[in-house]
Amino acid sequence: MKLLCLRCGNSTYFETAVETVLEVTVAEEGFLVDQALYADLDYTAETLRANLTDLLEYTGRQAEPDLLFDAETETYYSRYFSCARCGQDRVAPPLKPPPVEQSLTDELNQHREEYLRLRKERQKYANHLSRLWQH
Amino acid sequence: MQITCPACGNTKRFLLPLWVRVTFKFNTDGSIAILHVRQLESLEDKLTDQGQTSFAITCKECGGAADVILNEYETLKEQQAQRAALEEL
Repeated sequence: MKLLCLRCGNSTYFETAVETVLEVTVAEEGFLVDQALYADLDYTAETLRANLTDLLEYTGRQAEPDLLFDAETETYYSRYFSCARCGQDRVAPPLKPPPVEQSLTDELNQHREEYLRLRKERQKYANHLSRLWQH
Repeated sequence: MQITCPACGNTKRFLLPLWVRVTFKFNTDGSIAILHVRQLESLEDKLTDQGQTSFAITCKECGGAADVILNEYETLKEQQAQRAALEEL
C-alpha cells in the first residue's frame, strides 16, 4: 500500500497531475497534435509513467514537515494526490514505524565482527590474486 | 503561424510539454495501471503563449528550443513596404 484516502479508506484508485510530452506535426491542413513516437519508444507514455512513478516515490520519501496537516483528522497528507473514488484530496502515504534511533558508535560496534571478517577475507583473496601477466 | 528550429532547420516535428490529470490504480502486484488521462491545458493557448511562459516547444530531431512565429506575413509586408519606398526614391 503506497497511498491511503483518509476519508473513504481507498488504497487503490487515485488521481494526480503530471507533465507529459506530445508531438506537434506541421502539416498542410494545420497542426496535428498526437503522441510522440520514436522508432522503438512511445515518448508520451514513457514520460507519463516515469513522472507518475517519480511523484509516487517522492511522496513515499516525504517526511511529516513536507506534508500538509489536516486538523480535523489530525493526520498529514500529500498535496499531490486525490482519491479517485470519493474525490477527497486528503490522501496520505500510510504511516510507517519510526526509524530506530541508534548512535553511530553503537552501529559501528554492532557490526565490528562482521567488518573484521570482511577485512580478513579481503586480505586472504588479495594474496591469491591470479597473476595475469604470467599467462 | 510557423514553427522552426533555429539549430537544425526542422519545420515539421516538435515536442510540446503538457500537464495532464491521470487516474490510476495500484495493482495487486504493486505495479501501476493508468485508467484515464485528461489534459489540463489548452493546446492552442500553449502554442500561442510561446515565449510568454516558461515552457518551451522543442525540436523532435535535435532537442533544441523552437521558434514560434505567430504571423509570418508580418515581416514580409515590412519588406514589401521597404521595397516600395526604395522604388519611390
